[in-house]
Amino acid sequence: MLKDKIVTESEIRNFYRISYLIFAFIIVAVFSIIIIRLYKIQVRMGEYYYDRAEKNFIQEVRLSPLRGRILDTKGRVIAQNRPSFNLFLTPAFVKNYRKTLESIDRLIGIPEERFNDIISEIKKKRGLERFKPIKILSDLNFDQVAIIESNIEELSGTEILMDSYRDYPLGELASHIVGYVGEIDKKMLSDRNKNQEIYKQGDIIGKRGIELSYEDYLRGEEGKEFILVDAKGFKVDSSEVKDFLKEKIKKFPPRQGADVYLTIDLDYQMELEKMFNVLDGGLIAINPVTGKIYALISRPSFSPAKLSQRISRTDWNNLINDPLKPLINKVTQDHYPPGSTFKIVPALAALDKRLITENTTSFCNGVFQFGTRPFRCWAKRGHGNLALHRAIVQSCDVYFYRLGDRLDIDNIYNYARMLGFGQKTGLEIDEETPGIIPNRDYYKKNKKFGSYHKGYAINSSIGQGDVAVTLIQLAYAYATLANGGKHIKPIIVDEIRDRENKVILKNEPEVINELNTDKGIIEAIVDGLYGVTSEPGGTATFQKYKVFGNDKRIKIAGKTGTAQVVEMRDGKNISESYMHKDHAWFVAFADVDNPEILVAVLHKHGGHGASGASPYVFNAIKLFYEKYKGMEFDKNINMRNVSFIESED
Amino acid sequence: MNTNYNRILNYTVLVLVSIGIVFIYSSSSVYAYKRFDNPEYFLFKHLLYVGIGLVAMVILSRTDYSVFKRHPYLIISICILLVLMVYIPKIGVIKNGARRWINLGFITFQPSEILKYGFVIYISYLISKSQEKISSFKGGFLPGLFVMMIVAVILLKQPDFGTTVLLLFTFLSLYFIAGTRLSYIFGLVIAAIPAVYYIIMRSPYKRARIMAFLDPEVHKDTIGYQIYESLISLGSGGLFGQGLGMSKQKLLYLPAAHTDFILSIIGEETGFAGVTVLMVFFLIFIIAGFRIALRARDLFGMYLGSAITIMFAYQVLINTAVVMSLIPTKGLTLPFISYGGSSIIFSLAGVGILNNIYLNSNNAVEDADALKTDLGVMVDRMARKGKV
Repeated sequence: MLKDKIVTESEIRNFYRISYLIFAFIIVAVFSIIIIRLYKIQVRMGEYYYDRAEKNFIQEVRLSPLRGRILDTKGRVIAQNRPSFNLFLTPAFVKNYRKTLESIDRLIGIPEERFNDIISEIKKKRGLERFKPIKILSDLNFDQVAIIESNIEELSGTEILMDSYRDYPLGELASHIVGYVGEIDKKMLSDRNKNQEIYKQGDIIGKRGIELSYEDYLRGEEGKEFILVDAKGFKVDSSEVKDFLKEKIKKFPPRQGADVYLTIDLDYQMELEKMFNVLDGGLIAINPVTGKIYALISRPSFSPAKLSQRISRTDWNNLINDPLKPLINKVTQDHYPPGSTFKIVPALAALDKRLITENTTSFCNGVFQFGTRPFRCWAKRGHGNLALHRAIVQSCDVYFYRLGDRLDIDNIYNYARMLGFGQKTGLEIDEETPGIIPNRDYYKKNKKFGSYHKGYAINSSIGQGDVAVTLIQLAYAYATLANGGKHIKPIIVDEIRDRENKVILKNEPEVINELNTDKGIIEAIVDGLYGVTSEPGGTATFQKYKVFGNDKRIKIAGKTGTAQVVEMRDGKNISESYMHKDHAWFVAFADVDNPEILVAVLHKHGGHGASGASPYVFNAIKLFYEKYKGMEFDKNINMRNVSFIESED
Repeated sequence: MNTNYNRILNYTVLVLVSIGIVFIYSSSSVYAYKRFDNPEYFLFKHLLYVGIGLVAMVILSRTDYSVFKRHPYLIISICILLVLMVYIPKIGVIKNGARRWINLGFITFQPSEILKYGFVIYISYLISKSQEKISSFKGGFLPGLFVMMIVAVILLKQPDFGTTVLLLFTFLSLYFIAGTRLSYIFGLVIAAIPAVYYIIMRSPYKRARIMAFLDPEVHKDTIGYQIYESLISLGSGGLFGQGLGMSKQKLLYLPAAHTDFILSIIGEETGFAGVTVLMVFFLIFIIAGFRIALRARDLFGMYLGSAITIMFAYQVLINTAVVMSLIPTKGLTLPFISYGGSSIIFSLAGVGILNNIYLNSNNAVEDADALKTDLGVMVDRMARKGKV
């Protein structure tokens, strides 16, 4: 019985051996498929995967170059780099990030807004991203660093890393010149990387001023280093593996950025900033011959250091919504009717076109009647009979209305263009406003003003109506007269030197165009401008006296101007509130015989050009001669027995 | 020619376990150093498990396997209970979103490893008992199918898709060998397709695995990360590998480098040549296992031996196929090689059962036939005829 059973089983086994064979065949077949697949992956595609693997474990680390410095003409630092301590948190290494953040908050404080930002940022991190450190706080001071370091056990997963920060040791000084830096935004990223990928997200880039214009020089060249890393991105120091990859692990050091030397003189800039204490406006001091800018001030200023770091949303909004627009450069980015400072244009045009001579006289009774419309002189009683010289000195409107009437608007346009109005001066910082010089085409295109009529030319000739200029245009237009007709380009960067102190760029004075006119014509106009500050009845004579007294050593040629903010009625502003007060202009150069300094001021809502702007210009010129020419001036100016009349224009 | 297949089997296992020890050390040292400050952490633990496994193997070699035949219901019930224990709070352990482990205080292990053996013991018993009725659905196929269903539901709940598939394949293979109707087998496969589809689509992580499998490179940063890194590991090995210990991928690039994906590191360090040699060892093991099964003393022994061998064969094939991105990720270890206490201990225990089946077989009766039916010889012949 037992034997039978065994035989039966044996028979069954023999019967099913075929099943086993089939089964074994299937298994061998599957193994074969696997071997074939293995061959494909390892042998045929081996190199492909090897490359991929190499990209995995050899990581290219970018070595950021140290940004170049910005210095003044004498090599004093305006912008530099300094080490900063930043607090980082790596989500993967922190057990309870909320608790850790609360501890940090308790120890050194985290702004509430930032606190929530960090939490949402951490929440977004997934997978390997959680191994990347997130910056929690920037630029800790030494006390904060010490507090964090002594509590580091409680704050595991956080670390303090050193970075290089842009530093502006002079605070808000020269803020509109240097500008500021910041993290590159998406638009800049795509613009800058058009031809070659240079920037990466999170890079620091110049955002404004010299920092932006000379970005290419300041940035330097990034270096790179190849290091062996594990999957979490940590550096691996395995000598065995390093030897194996010796060829691949290399270091290319970064090239530091070049230093930009400005034409600005910090001493002068500093003193002018102290002196130019207006709420809103601009000042520019230049060498009228070379075009080099000595000082440039825009009010209100901003803090480059603050803007270069993570600025809070509230602070940013405050800055943007400030009615005084601190971020606008009042010297180059804001344009207004130039008022009487524009009178040199019709004067030049009329003389050059031989419509008048220096001796042609005209009678001013206080009003110029054009059809039914009266154009009034600022002096209600009129100036009487006068020629060009006295018309400039006294800034007679009627005289220039007549010139405007006889000149065509296109002539005013052409001569204005020759002096650089209506176009960018070519200053290398920030986007300039070209200003507006209307001509016939302008009124054809801008229908809202109605079609062209002569009234526009009459208005233009005293720098009102649609004419709008920037302060820098005004400065270089007057520099053209100081120069005897050479219209020059503004220079703000003197030279650029690389880290070996080798000069790699040097800006030389550049003449844009030269007035093709008699020297006598320019001399006649300059003589009139000299009269403005020196002759009885000159619109700025009194103000000049207040600064220089009877000192006649320096001959200053200048011109006042007042830009109407609200329409005047019968020569008077309707409103006396600050925002409705006129803008005051004054531009002057010295010495008339040997021009060395030109200063132009726009004092927004400063009232009349003489009282609102010219004192700053005279003081700036005085400072210049004291500082650079070693001249001394009488400090006590006798104000008694002064018989000058304060001018309104 | 009297070939001692048992000796071949044991030597092969020894070689495989040794290879495993070497590569667990190679692939885990960086991770162990980073995590536990001790590069030998996993090596020592694995050596301990191997020791326990060898003890289990010796004990089972000396234990007559007919003890299993006597208590099949008890065994399967205990196994199912153990698996159900993962749902008891404080005993069940959740790792990576799956309830697969139980913690008995002194040891944490995967009860599904025991269930594998309990299941094949039970099925072997079932088939050997109802051999005459194997062609009938009700008397032959259905009882097995019933247990299969219960086991599948419990395992899928954990979820442990890999083990479920492994047991389903083993189940079907056993019935195929036993000579059930092919229509049952294909019928079950066809019936299973909608169920599998439903299970995959319902679970986001399974769906993700499928997506990752279909295009590892596209999903390399997210769901396809592991499989993509696995291909990179394997591929960068080339023909002869980068040399022992020279894997770069083990620098934490490849998750589970010392467990489920150890073959990738072996491939990276020893190349195509090394992996092929490893596969040959597995093939030898499988052939030896079948030989032992075919000579078993009784039908139960034959089916049990076959089942254990088949299970090993499938697990090797599935793990290898996953690593090579031939099929989606399953979560199965490479037997004898991968790190993992439950895996190595129960694998060695399985070898112990095979040893005992051999020791209880009547060699003298079978050896005469052996030469003719030697699987190896048959395979050789087929290969020569160009069928492989």
